[in-house]
Amino acid sequence: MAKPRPAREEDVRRRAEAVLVIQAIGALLLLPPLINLFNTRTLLFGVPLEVLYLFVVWLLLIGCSVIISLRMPKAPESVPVEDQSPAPERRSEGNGG
Amino acid sequence: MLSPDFVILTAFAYVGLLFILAYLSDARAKRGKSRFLSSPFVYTLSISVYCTSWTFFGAVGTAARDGLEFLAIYLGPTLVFVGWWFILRKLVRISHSQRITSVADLLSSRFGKSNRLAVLVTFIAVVSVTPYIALQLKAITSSIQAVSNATGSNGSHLAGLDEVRLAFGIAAVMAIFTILFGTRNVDAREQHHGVVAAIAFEAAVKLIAFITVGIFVVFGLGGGFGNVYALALEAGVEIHEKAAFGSRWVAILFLASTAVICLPRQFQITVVENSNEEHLRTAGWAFPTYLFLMSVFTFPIALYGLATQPPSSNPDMFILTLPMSAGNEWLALFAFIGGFSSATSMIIVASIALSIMVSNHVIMPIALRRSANLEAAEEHGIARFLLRSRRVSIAVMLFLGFAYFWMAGESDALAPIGLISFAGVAQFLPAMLAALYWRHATVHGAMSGILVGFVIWAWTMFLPSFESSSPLVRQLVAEGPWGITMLRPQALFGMEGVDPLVHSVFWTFLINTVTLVCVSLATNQSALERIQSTLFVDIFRRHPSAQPHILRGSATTDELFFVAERVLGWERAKALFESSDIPRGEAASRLGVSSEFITKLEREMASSIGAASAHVLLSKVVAGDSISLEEMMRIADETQQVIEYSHELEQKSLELRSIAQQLREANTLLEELHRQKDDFLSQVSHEVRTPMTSIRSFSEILLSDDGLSPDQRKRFVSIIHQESVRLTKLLDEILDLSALEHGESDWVNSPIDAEDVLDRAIAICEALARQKSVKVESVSRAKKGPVFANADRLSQVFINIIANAIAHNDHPQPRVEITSWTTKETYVVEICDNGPGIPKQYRKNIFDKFVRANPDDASSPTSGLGLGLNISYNIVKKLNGRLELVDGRLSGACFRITLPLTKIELLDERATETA
Repeated sequence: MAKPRPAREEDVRRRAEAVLVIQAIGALLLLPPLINLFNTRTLLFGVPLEVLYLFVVWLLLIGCSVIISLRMPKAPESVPVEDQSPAPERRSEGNGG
Repeated sequence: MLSPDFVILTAFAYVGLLFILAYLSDARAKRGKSRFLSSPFVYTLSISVYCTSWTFFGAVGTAARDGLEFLAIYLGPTLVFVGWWFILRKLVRISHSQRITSVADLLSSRFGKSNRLAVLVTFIAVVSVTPYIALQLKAITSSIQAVSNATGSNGSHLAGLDEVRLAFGIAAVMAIFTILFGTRNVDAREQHHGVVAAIAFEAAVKLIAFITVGIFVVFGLGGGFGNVYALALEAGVEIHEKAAFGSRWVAILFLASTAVICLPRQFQITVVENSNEEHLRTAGWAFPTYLFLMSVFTFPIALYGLATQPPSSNPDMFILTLPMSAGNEWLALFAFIGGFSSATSMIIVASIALSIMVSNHVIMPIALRRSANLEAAEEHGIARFLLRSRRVSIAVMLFLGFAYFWMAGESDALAPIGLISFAGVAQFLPAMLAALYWRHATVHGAMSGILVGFVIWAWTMFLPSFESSSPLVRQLVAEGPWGITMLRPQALFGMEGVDPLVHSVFWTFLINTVTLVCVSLATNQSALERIQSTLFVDIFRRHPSAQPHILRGSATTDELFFVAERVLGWERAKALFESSDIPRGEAASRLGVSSEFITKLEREMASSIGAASAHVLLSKVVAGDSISLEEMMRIADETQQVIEYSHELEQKSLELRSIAQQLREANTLLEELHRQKDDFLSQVSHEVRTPMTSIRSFSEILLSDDGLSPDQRKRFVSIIHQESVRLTKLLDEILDLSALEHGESDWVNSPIDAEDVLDRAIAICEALARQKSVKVESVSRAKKGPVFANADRLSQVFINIIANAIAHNDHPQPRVEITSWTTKETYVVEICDNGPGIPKQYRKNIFDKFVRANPDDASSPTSGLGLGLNISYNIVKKLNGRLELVDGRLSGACFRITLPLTKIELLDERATETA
């Protein structure tokens, strides 16, 4: 069970903190006052700056989420183990009624 | 122009397609070929049930009216899903391990399986979601009208259907679909494969439809993003935000983040229908991407619509009217199908989620309480009852939605219902976060928080939505109840000039959270709550097998199987019992079952009928002769106390033991001392008796016998004298000893030269040495031995040791060697002889009282009394020195006297010498 655990756990903790930080920064970027810095009635490539800004932040968040998903460790028991009885026995029942 | 007949038939054909799809998926899943259906992408697509017709049609309308505000609806969930590692993963893990079936079940299970809380949550969910269902019906009917321009086409009989009948028809078909595919089995934890497949398909349809329209409008009609904005600018449409992003933006962002967790349909799809925690990993980025794609074209479509359509046109329907005005009716039809998909998928999932809540938390507990013979029903009795109640709930729920639509459909009360609904279910959030992260939150806190939040929500948000349709409400909003302006729904406590949404979100969340925290702090958790709170909060810390056993295992197998069969059915119950090696049948009918198994059974049943009902049902069987939970906890508490008490006792007894040990040691010492005293007394008596006996007998002879020669007489008298001298010497020594031991008043130390004292001692022993012809030599001597001592006493020590060395030496050429030297801090004298030495057994205690190296010659006149060395030892000790027996250069004994050197100059040397 506990082989090279300590180092990995440390890693997981750091990455989990990184997730929190990303979430917090994302929220910060999407909330006033920061968001209003880009709400300046200017056009960039013919598109309102605030529109571009929101979509860029969005893309960044999606990018971060991809990285998070790749780097977070797998769940130790990804399926709730205990009593998943084999599928055939759990077929749908009770259609009558 | 498409005919209404055609549009309606298309819609029904589409629903038919959904039926076929759902049926095929269910069939595939039944054959065990559900690999594709349970892939993370299907899961992600099904989460997109978040995008309802409100967002499909309404987002464009919102964008046209309020600018970028619609984006907040999508950005909130994005933030939540980016952080899936925290809240979502914990929710899914808990729900898997606790077999959670709904939001209400989650909260009820965490807060001590409280059914009242579950009922409250269910009630709020129904109240906030039913209008939302009505909104979907409204969106479908208006979109049909928009796409077919139904007004006045009398050619077909279907067009004769008015809005209400149309909505009823749709509601009915949706009810049939949901009942058919959403209540196939009673286990809410089992995937509704057919439904999920249909929802995922609909998600794909609505995304493709929206993007197709977007591409058509932006690139086909508008000529690219930049051109659309330029066009809008030319037409005088505001393309920038009208004002800075403010509190309303924040409030919507917050509500959307909450809704994606708390909305019953989102919880159902994201948490309950999740078959594998790992799917969240994909959904974490794929769902935000879906939302991103869904909203890229929204703003340009709205702007293009505003720029090109007549001002009277409804911006909510731009997505249909723009393709139509460009003559592309097929695209409009496709867009209509997209909107139709988003509406139907919401209706299906929401009604499933609500029906599970209603049947598990409202109908089931009532049935359990009312009917005594429910358990006595045949196999599947409870399950069948539950399914029936679930089907009825679905029908009722959809009818409620329809009724709401019927009554409020014509007014604009439906338009803002999306956000109102979000804010309603968002009242669960504080309790939900507390459930996941705050161990000490109590059921009373959760209940009162949710209740207060709900009441304020109803007052500040739900009620004012009827403002336009009811004059009474209008008056209430304007003046407050009974004219109390402080209680005006949109200016509570005098908070005026704030956006109504912000106003409501602020007050509901503030008071909800404060109530939750305060009441939780003021009330106590029940035993079951405490257990559940640990299970929830520490889900990642706890080993899965460390489940507490809530019901004690005193029910018999037969009773348990009986109940399990009623809920799970014979097959599953049998599988469950067999997988746990629980024997059944005649032989085992009276056997007890382990509490682990009962816990497992309770969890399994909870996945069908909810945690609270499962607990009640099993308690009925098990609790008959088992102890109650409170009692168990009390016993546990008592045990804890006893453990603490015994720990204390142990500590005490340890202390006592150590004290007893000390006492024992002291006692041993005392006994030893007592023994020494006795020894001393008997030795002394013995020593005194020997000379006394001879004195007495010789004096008796002298007295009684007159015929003694003078010579004899003289000899006898000399013996008497000799003996009395010896006696005196003995008494002197005893006195000496007692003086040494008890401290001497006339003992004065002064700086002296120990060498002088040694010289004198050697001189005094000279006579004895000559008499015994022993050679006493000083081998090497220190020049000076300045010590701080009493010269007489020191001399006594030297004399005693030298005399002993002379007296006990029986070597043919007896020799005594005396050596002395000084080290840095000490003056050392060694007196060695070549006599017999001290036998091994006496070496240890040679300095004790009355110890003689050779006890056999105790009576011989040469032998000492055995006190000399002891006295010397005590004197040296008193002078802060040491007297030791060492291995010397010669064969016999060797005594070493070590004394500390003194720093004081020998000023009084002369005086000391003369003393």
